[in-house]
Amino acid sequence: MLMPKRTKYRKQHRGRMRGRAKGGAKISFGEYGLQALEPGWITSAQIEAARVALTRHVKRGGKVWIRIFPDKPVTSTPAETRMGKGKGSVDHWVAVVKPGRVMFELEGVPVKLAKSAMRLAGHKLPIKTRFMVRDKEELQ
Amino acid sequence: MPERITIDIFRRTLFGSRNSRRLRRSGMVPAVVYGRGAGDLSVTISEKVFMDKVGYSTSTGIINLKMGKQSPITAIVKDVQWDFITDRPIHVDFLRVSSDQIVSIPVHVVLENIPAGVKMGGILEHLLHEIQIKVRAKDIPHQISIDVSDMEMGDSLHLSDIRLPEGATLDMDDSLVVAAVVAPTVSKAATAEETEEEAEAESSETAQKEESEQGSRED
Repeated sequence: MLMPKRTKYRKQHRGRMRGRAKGGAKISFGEYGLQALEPGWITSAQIEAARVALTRHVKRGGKVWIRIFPDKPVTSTPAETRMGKGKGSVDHWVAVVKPGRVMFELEGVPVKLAKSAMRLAGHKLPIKTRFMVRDKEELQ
Repeated sequence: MPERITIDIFRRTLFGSRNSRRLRRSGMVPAVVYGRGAGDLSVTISEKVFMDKVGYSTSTGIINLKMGKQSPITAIVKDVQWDFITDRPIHVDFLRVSSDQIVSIPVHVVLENIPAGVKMGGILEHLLHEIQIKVRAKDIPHQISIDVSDMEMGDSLHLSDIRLPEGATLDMDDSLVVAAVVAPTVSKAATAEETEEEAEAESSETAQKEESEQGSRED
C-alpha cells in the first residue's frame, strides 16, 4: 500500500478541509477520470482497493493513473488505554481530498467500460464521486 | 461553408465577483469582447444559448455577436473558463477578428481507427489532445482527425508527421509526440494478484471436490 518512504515529522494535526481543490481538478494524463465531489480522507487501503477494482475490470486493457498520495499520518491510541500518555502511534496514512480533485485517470478503453470501472472504483471510496471525460463533446 | 453562429450579447454594467455570481445564478455568463484595436467590451450572454451553440468545443470558427440593433461583431471564442465541478461556463473571452485575419488557436486532435499495434495487444497512448495552429479565422477547423491505423507496436506519431488542413501552420514545437502505441506493462503487484487468484480458485475447487466426495461416502 502507498505510504511515504520517510517524513520530516512523525505525526500531524488533523487540519481542516474547507473549500475546493486548489489543483489537480482537470484530467491531465488519461481520457477519463474519477472526480471527488466531497471532501474527505482517503486511506491507502481505499486507494489500493479502488486501483484493484479498476485494473481488474479493464483486464489489463488500459492504463491507470493514481493522482492522490496518502502523505498524512493518522494516529490512534490502543483500546482500553487510560487517559494521558500522549498522542497515539501512527495507525494508517490518508490523502486529504477536496471537492474537484481528480483521483484516478484511465486511458485506452471504451467509454462504457471506463464508466463501469470508475463506478466500481468509486464504491471503494468514502466520498461521492463522478465520472469525467476529457473530451466533453463525447458525452454531449 | 457552414452557417455562422449568432449569439446575442448584452452590455454589462455591474462588475465584480458578487455581481458576476448573481448574474450566473440568473442564467447568464459574464463575457468580454476585445481585440483589433478597439477597446474592451464587457458583456453578458445567455448560458443556455452559449451551451447550445458553442458548448464544449474548442474551435467553433467565426461567431457573430449581436448587440441590439448594432451591426454584429465578428469574433472567435478565445478562451472559456469552466467550473471544474459543475462543468458550467464561468467566463467567456471573445476575440474580434476579420475573416482573413490569421489567428493562433488550439484545435482538438482526434485519433481515428484502431492501430495495428493495438490489435496485437498494445495500448494506444494519446499524449497531445490539443495543438496550437495558425490559420485564417474563416478556415478554423472544428478538429484535426488523424488516421492511426498504420501504427505498429512501439511506433510514435510526432507533430511533424501530421498533415494539417490547407492554409494552417503549426504554432508549436513539431517534435512533440501526439500518440504512441506501447506494449502493456504488467506490474509485479498485478501478476502477484493474478497468481493469488488462480491459487484461490484452485484451492476452492479442490475443497468443493473433497466436500462432494465426503457427501457421497456419507450417503
